[in-house]
Amino acid sequence: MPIIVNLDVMMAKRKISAGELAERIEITPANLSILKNNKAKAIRFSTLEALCKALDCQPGDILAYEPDGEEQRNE
Amino acid sequence: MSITWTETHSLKLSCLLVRIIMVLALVALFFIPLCTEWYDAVSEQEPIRLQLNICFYLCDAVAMVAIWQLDRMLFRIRRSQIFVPENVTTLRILSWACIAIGVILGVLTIWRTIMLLVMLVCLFLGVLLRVLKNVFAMAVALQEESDYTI
Repeated sequence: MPIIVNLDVMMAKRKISAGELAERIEITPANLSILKNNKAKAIRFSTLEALCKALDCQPGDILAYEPDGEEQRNE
Repeated sequence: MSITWTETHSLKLSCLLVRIIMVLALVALFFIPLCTEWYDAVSEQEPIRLQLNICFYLCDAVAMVAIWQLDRMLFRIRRSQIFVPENVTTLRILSWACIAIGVILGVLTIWRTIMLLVMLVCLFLGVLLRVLKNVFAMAVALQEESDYTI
């Protein structure tokens, strides 16, 4: 999927652990791990809002669009 | 996904029925020659005992595979594994099993025209299961998307 979740980068910038962030945004550490490892298929606005609030950032700081090889060839 | 009291009992009944059919399919292995012998004796048409024996044994073998798959599927459903790829595979196998039985019985239409009806029923059931498999495959994809929505 060309949407990349840069959660680990923001977490490192804010010096916050996965456990602490999971607790703050009220999701399970397992779900946070899915999100962090780019395994998620979708993200709810409520989760994104909680993440932005907890990390004091914008959605664009967490999400990025990187076209994969197939899409680049089509352009 | 939780399973209610009624659903549990309904599942138990389904499991019991599948086991009974499994036993019947096994018992049929010993009684097919007797049944075909009796059929030839009462039938006023040309004897087709050998053809019937071959077709019925083939059908029984396919049916046993289908029943075994059905049993495994029920086992997974009892463990709340409903929209999983394994169940899609099972439905695909069941669909092909019905179509295969239809084709095998279709061979018998050469000697007995009435078998055309049985063949059509089996083929229809096979197509029905195939559509169900397609629906299940979509449900598996939706379930996966839902599971991975954070």
